[in-house]
Amino acid sequence: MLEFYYSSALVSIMSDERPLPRWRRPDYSTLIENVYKIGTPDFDPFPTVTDVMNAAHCPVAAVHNILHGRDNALIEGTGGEIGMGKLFHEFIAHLKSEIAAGRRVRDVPQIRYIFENFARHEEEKRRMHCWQYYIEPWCRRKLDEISSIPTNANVFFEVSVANPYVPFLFESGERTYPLMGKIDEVDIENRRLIERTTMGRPDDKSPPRLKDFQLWLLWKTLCSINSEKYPEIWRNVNFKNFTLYIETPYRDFQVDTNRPEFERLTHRAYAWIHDILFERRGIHEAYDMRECTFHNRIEDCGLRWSCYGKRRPRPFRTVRDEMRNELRRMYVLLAYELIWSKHLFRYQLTMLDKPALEELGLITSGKILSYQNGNLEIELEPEQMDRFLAQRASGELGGYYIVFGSFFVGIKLKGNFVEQSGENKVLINTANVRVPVSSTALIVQTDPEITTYVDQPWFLTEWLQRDLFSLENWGLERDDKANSNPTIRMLETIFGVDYLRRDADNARQ
Amino acid sequence: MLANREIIENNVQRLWSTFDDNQKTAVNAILNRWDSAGENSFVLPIIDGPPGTGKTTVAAVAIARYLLENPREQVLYMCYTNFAADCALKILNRLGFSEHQAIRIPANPRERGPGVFGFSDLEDLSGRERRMLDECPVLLCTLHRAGKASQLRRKGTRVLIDEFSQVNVPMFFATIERVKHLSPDCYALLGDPKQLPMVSTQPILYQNICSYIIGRKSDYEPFSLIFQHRMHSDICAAVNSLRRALGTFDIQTSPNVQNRNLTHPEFGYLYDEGIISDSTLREILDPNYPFVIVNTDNLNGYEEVSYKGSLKNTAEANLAVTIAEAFYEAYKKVNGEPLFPMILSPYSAQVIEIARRLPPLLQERCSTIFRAQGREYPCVIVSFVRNNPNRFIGFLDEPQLRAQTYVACSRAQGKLVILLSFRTFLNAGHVDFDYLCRTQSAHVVDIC
Repeated sequence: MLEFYYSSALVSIMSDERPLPRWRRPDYSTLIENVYKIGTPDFDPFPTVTDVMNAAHCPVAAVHNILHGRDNALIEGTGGEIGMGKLFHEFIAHLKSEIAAGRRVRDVPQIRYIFENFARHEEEKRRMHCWQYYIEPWCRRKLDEISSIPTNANVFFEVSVANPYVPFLFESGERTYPLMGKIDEVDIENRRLIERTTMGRPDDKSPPRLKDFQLWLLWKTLCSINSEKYPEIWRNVNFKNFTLYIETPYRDFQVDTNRPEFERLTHRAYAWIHDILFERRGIHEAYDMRECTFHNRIEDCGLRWSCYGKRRPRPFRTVRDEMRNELRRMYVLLAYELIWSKHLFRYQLTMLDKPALEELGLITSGKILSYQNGNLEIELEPEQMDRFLAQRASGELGGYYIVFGSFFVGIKLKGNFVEQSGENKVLINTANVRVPVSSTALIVQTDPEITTYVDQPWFLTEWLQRDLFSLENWGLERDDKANSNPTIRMLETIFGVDYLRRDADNARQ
Repeated sequence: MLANREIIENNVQRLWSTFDDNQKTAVNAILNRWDSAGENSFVLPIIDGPPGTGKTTVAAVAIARYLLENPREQVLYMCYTNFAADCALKILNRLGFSEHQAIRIPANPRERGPGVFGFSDLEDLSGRERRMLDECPVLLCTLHRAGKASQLRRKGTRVLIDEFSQVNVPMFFATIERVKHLSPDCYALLGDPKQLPMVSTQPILYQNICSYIIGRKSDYEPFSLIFQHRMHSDICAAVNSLRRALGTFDIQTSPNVQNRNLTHPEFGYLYDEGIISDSTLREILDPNYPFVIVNTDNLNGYEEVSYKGSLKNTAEANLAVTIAEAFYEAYKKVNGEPLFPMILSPYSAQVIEIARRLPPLLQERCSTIFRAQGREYPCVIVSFVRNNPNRFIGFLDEPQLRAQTYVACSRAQGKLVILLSFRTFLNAGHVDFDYLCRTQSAHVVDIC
């Protein structure tokens, strides 16, 4: 059942907050890497929709996201449920793709059979849980709708969108910010965009927290992109007239696109992102202006443990304070490191032209020769082949992203290098992508030329931030245990007044 | 647990007898438990091992002795690069550890081979594989894989972190977080605090954990290994000049390598002087001059900005290639095997430029200094690229990155050739290069 709702229960927006005068983007010499990357970056980050949602949810969530490598403030549930949304969404994409490819579905047990086969590598408990709580309720509601999907329907899944200049209204004019994200489903056939989530309950009257904001941001990004950057088959589509839907397992909610409060929320979120990174008192103010208190907590916030978690007496308080001082410096530096690498790369992909990107060695272009059993055979230019192999030889971690369409709108598939299949030919395996490539990516591809880039291991820096934050908050309750715990003793020694010795009294000779 | 205990014991004994006092003290420090320090103090052995002083061998012997005394225990050896972990694995194998007794956990889950076992999730392992890893006495991995490796193990393990110059403060404490549930009964750090840090855009993140700890605990003095077993004494003199410029102690050359030039029986190369017609080239190649500095002032060419703002110097690249080809031609072993010299440069653009000019057989013998860290080569040619009228040498003079020169020079075992523009580098306030060129053992050659 579709519900059209008018929600006013959003985050309060303070009237005295002012947006930033300008979002700083890297200048051309920075983009082409003619400046020495060092110190505080002189440009703002290129956030994802998740980053903006976190900052809109609560400034403290933005601190955790930017500095502590934790972006799960808006993910409800226990550890076991994390990743369930991905399975839910991937299966529905798979199911719809199969139907669009000609498969007929009659009833829910048949869908169950398809699901069991699709998720056979998942742990049984997870599979059962996903089916029972998410997929089955969704299928019961949607059986008629999905059965009527025509063959070769124009439906696309996991569509990436990005634009360094997405306009948002401000007073009588507008401000632009960079933004990127992924739309769960673009249904050209029915002129709608869909964001799917496992959150939500049968009796919900409004979509899960900020999900409507998320879809609205994605829609804004999609609409802001110059039509020349769209894949050819979408060039005549007017996305401004599309309707937006949030689908939970139990309900559908239509999202109104004319939402002035979302415009204000966006300005506020970007202001927080900037202030936390670059303003001297930004972090302090973020904690001051958090969205909840101990007695009035947002119970579905995924980060409430870090705001209201138990404080343990060991390491000693003075040691912990000193450690916190030192580590907080590191979080910011690691965030700057990410801006110079990950965020600059996003700007480069969207602000430089293709020859410049190739010249910098950031992308490689090639032509698809064949697609069989999840393996894409790609032919590269001879000099690009050398670069491709050099990147491999340098032992860079991560896989390859193959972009169908453009960096602005397209489908990005992660693949692994299999082998050099001939002169200037490589085989990339995309078998880990559960939605068939042919039914999504290859349709977007109107030009046989594709682009690949190497996925750098930026997540390692986020891991460092996350682990440092865990260590900062970790401790022991009992003194006797703490006294015999080498990690506590080491921290208390390095950050406290105890002596650090290189050798024991009873050293061996 | 150690089935081949006797072999390991014999090998450890044999190696132990060759150890100097500093190495023995360092091993003993690693073997002492942290809780034997008494109240208000904590034992954290830090071993400062300059190039070629056998840090990894010290670590391997400490691991072996610990496991001989505690056969049911496990040791977790970590370092920044897979290459360093492989080096440690080789030493452990030489000590007698089989491929089931010392296993490296690589980043790539599909990488498997003798002594290497990749996996992405513990749940994916069979019971037999899980037991093999659980019972393995020595696990080796990079610091980023620490989380995976530490999931495997029971409590009370021993944690050794090697090559700490590349372990900065956040990485160290993040690693501590990842292994803390193992309740290690000893942490130990080995490395050379003067070597290159990991690459970062943030100068503060260049600081390695040893310098950080010593900065906080000024009365702490690490163990120092002072005998090097890698470089000819002339090359060691150059390295000592640079160490003095960096404000640290001199190292001494072990007697078995002090006269080990390229024609020494241990390398076994024969030098055919007659094959080289150019007298300057002959002077550069002469095995009796293990440390040669070539003044490139008279070369026709300046530095140029290239790929991603990196620098190249075409004239110097040509010279490096000519010298490398001459080494390849003139030095051969009795069985005809030629010498493959290694060309290093601080600039990636210069590395690309040189690689482009090298003949196919030598093309892989060219690398940046960063990538060469932790490695050693019989013959090294270093191209410093900079040649400009302003006498500006960029990051080679920066406090955190000036160790490029030190690392480059200390990779050479029997022959070191440095290509340098004297006009740009000398008497211009670039202390490292002034010290380097004043080294008595340096044989200076001017290119006409």
